[in-house]
Amino acid sequence: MEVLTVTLNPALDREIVLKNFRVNELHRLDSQEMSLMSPGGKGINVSVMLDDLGIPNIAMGFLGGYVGRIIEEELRKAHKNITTNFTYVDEESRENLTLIDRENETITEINMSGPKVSKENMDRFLKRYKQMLSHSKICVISGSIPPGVAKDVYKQLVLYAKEREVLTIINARDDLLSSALEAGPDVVKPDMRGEKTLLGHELNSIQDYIDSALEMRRMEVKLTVISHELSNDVVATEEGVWYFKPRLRIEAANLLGTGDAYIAGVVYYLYKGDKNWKEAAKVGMASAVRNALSIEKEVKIDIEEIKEELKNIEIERLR
Amino acid sequence: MKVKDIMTRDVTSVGLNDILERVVETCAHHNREGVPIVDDENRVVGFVSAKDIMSAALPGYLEMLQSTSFIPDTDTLFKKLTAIRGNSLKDVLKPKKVIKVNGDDTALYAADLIIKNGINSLVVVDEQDRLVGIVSRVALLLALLKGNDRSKESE
Repeated sequence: MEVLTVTLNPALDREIVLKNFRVNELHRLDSQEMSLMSPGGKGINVSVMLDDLGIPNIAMGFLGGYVGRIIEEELRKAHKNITTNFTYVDEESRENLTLIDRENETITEINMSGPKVSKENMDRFLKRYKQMLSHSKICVISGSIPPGVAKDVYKQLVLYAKEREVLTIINARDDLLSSALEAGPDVVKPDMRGEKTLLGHELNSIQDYIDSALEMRRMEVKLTVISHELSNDVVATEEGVWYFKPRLRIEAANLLGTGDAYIAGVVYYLYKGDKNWKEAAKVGMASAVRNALSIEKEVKIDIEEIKEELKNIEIERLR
Repeated sequence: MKVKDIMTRDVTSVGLNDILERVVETCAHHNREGVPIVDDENRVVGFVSAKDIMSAALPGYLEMLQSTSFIPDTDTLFKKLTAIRGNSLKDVLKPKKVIKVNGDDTALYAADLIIKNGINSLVVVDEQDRLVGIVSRVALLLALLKGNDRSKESE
């Protein structure tokens, strides 16, 4: 029984570390290490982190062209626990550019849109998706969708997973989430980078967050995690609504990849067979905090560090 | 050294209902000479190679001839291939036994199977016969060479 991660729009991530990044200026990098290249896209990031945690998983989605081939080969080369199962499309896979300025602690990100996916490509993907679900127990659906894919695609993916009794975890923007919620995913973590909107409502006061979390619960989501003020979360389960807060102060510049580390932590907990949702959220946050200790996207997390971090999470009941 | 240590962990596959053109595209995208055929539950039911497709497209009478050099129509292969490009695998493929290994089989056993059967790659399955990876000749050799280097270093 395995874990499946779905990344419909993978990317080749390029991280460039420089000093005093300025628009309209030439920047020269001191060494090769200042420019890193790695397979990316939210689901793929989760796959890589699960590999670190020793959990075998299958990575699925669409790839295209030379960039697609690099993503696939790199993914397998460095990660023994990852099996690839990508559907190829005609256009090139995208590249995501991240400029990390250590001097001013800023991150500038440029995410490209991705190759066009035809209906025929989608049908082939769905066929392979169903094959993989037949022997999976957890399915992570994460990130944006490439051009040509219907906005309600995640709803369909959750429905297929539920038919086969596979637990579903979704981490995506509000516009992709709302239709998926109709299918009743088990764990939902909205991607709040950018707009603070959920179920079409803008979130301002803490009450807005609680209301949204409760609405998710009514839609039979077993665990809802909504990030609040950089590093804190509003967490809702059947038993209540809580405010999770790490003791450690998190730098804004270190948030790259923490959402994916969170999901990896939750999967790690659920994979072991436990079903305490609040506890799963704790492991998720501990994993995210560990990831946030460094500015780079790819931070190796190990389970001992996560266990250590569990002690440093403050939990306050909201409801 | 075991098969699971050297296999490529990729489960790209096709189904018996897939059309020939799609199968050729899949091979091309993954730079492969062939792909496993699986059922709805990812269980391996066959393997199709570029060679199989080529022989399906060759006119039947060629087998009886010693040489093709005197045939004036060079378009024959193209015409036949175009005619069957939309046909599904199950209509075109001749049934044959698929050669499989398990992740726990030795690399030596895999190499032996490849040589004895004159094939390019081996399908790797789990206990339930589900596809888990593939071993190609080159990957096998490369892994063996690298593995050998490592054992030298540790001596």
